[in-house]
Amino acid sequence: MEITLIQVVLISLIYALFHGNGGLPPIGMITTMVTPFTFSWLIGAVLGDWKQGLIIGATIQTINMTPVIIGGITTVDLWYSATLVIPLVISYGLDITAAVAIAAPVAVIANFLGQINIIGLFDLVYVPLGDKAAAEGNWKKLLYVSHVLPAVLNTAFKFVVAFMGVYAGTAATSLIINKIPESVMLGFGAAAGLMPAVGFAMFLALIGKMKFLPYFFVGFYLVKFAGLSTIVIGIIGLILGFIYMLNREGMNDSETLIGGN
Amino acid sequence: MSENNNIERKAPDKITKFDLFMEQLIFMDGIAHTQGNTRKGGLSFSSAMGYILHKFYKNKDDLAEALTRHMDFYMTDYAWGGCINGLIISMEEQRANDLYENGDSTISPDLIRAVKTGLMGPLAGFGDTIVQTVFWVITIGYAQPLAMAGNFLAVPISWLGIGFSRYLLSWLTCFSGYYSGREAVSKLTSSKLAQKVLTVSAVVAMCIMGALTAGNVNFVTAVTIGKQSLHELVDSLLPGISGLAPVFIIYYLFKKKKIHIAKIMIGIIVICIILGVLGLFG
Repeated sequence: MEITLIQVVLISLIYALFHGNGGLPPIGMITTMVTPFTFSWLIGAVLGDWKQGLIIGATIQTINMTPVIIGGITTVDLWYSATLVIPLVISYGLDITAAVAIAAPVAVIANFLGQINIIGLFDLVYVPLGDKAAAEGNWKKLLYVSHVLPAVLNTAFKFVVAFMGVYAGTAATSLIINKIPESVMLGFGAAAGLMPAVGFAMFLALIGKMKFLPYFFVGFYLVKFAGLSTIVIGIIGLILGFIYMLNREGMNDSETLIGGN
Repeated sequence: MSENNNIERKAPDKITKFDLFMEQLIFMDGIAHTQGNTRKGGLSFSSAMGYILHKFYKNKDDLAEALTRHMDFYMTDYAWGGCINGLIISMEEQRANDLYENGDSTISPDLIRAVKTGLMGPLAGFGDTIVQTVFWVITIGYAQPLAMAGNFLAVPISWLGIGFSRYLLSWLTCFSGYYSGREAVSKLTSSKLAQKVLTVSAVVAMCIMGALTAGNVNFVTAVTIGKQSLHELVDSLLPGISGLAPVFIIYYLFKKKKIHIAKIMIGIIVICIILGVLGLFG
């Protein structure tokens, strides 16, 4: 099954509107920070199978299960991977495992380009214009420069990027992918399996409290060897957290008792 | 300030809860669009303030001065940072009233700047922990398995749990910042309850992150020693090492060796392809 031009336009539009950094006002409200979930089912729906789209989105999510932006650094652009890979699976019949294998390098490269273009270059336009509007005391113009202009420019830019990727990329990729030796594809697959490690390492380095590292191992081994669900782990974590607090308070009490006597 | 005494000023308007609601909507939308390195959220902060400030400062020069001071670099956790927005609005309102009545104000631009930059750091530390670790981690830990099973509920859950909850939080914190005042906001991050919430949520987040690591990080080679495969042998000697080792090696490279994260990721892909060609994966 081939992908039609209308489908390509719709998919690119979905990417441009739903991409986490700068969805349009009503959409941005719900999509900020949320990765493939938000729109993988929509792309699936455009291609005639929303359920398959959602499942592929969830699979691509495993490339990085940590927050999209950690400590001001974005690691992978899973939105772009989903946009390219879902048509490959639904319309060109690519295997999901192979799809996730290519999704990983695509996410790394797309994020790299996005950082340079949208955050680096476009801001050179918005900020000076904003400074000028502020100095004039023109609050409506300032609103225009900081909201309407970026919404239009960023969305248009993302539409073009997605369109090029989906239009030229999917057909070419589906041709190339059959030519790639299996050993290289296995290498891509192993890389996809290691990408979440980057996310978790970033989490530990930037947000997680290393003081609480033992609790990380509690969660890890309870899943690895007892097979508990994350919800149960969350409850256990809550209980452990409260026990930690109670113990600390208990120690403080005894210290004050000794001091008081 | 003597020259300002001569300027004719009109009385500032009162603002309503709806104005605060709209201001946060504008602000949260803005930071999604423009987050350049030079000002971060500054452009959004100034434009969102403009929506409120033009009701306070009827004089064009006063408004220009206020908007310019809010164009400064601004970066925090924007959802919890709502209380900074609310607090700054209440300070600007008082300043506008003072200027209208006396032509001078004890709330100087420097004080407003100092309060804003002083709260940025503590609120970022507080908010990042709550929003990014708890909201994100719990929601995704719940929604992702649902989505894998093809359950549509995963979509509204992730929207509500991660996207909409941030907006809700930013409105609530903005209202509390506007109505409760400076002391209350400064106390918020240093209060005992806040510290307890932070500690418990940090423990929960570490547990769930460990759980997600076990489920998602997987490095399996096809190398065999005799009849036993290498990773089974290693995993039986050091349980879970195939999941933990990659995380802590990358942690070491990023945190201790200060290697840029993009280089690490490209390195992983290159090394995996080389290992694949060498036939280590099958």
